[in-house]
Amino acid sequence: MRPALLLLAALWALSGPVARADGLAARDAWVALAPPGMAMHAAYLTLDNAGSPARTLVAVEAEGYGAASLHETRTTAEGVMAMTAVEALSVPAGGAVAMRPGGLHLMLEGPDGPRAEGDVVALVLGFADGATLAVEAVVRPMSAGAQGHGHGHGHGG
Amino acid sequence: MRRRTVLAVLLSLALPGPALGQANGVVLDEPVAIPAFALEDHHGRAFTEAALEGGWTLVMLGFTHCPDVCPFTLTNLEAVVAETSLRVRPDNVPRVVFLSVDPARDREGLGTYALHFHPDFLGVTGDRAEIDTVVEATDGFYRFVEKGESYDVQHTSAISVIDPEGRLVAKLQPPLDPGPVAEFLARLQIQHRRAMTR
Repeated sequence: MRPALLLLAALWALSGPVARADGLAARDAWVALAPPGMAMHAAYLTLDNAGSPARTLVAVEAEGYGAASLHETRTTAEGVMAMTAVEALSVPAGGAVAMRPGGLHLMLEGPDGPRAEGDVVALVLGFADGATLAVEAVVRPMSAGAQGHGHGHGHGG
Repeated sequence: MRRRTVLAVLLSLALPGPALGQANGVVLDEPVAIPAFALEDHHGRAFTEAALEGGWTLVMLGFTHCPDVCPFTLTNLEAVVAETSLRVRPDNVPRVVFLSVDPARDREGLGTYALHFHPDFLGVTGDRAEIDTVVEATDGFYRFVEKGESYDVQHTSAISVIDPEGRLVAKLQPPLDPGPVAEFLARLQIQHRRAMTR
């Protein structure tokens, strides 16, 4: 019993920050299948904040990559596309923030090897209040569509 | 003449930002000739203004160290080509050219990158002056931005539509909704044929 209790205690201690992340969840996490040899990959997910107050994403780690960071692709009024580092991403109380191709994304730099469709990339998201959230992102090809990876809105004409 | 009026009305709907069910396309009042240039495709073959003649071409500016929006645009272009092939004769299906404005990093691996999205996509790059000739002729723009020890490339997102005479005739602004963009291209080709036989 004692080892089991110790293990439980350890788990409890480890899960502390996650427990404080109560109400915060990540879903639909995926990594875009990249052309072979690409030194940069992109990951996308949706953050839900069922609780209050607002929560702020400030750090990202990706297992098997040299670095990971939050970026946004923005198009200027002149039609110039630029990638901008996003230092903090607020998820409003009771709200959600969705990342999608051509917009908010996690930039994963320096993979330790190629990633194939179906592979899983372990991500850890860090929040301003110290909470962390572990997320598993599945590698899959991008889908076409004006709205990113094909959620909602149908196909139009 | 009447056709041009109809197009002008369609174009007035081309608002910035994500729009569904429509193509953010702009048809030029007059086609713009592309001056002579000498680039190289990912097979190592010469890619000059002559390569633009005889078929329709969609030219996208980009660079391979672009994890998000370049793959997304190429994925959408693959869908645009598939949708267009349902609407036009096989020899009128546009060829997609991914013009890398980052030759320092992209002379190697450009083919691997382009072919990931479609077996017929063509990666093209070359000397800066030659790239600039095409970029300027298609009213494009790019710049390098320092980023830590590396650099990022900012570039115009519009896709250039080149007709079989090798002239710039239209621009497409992402996001590219494949169905409406294919419809736009099919109509553009009908208009083009009428103009050429007039």
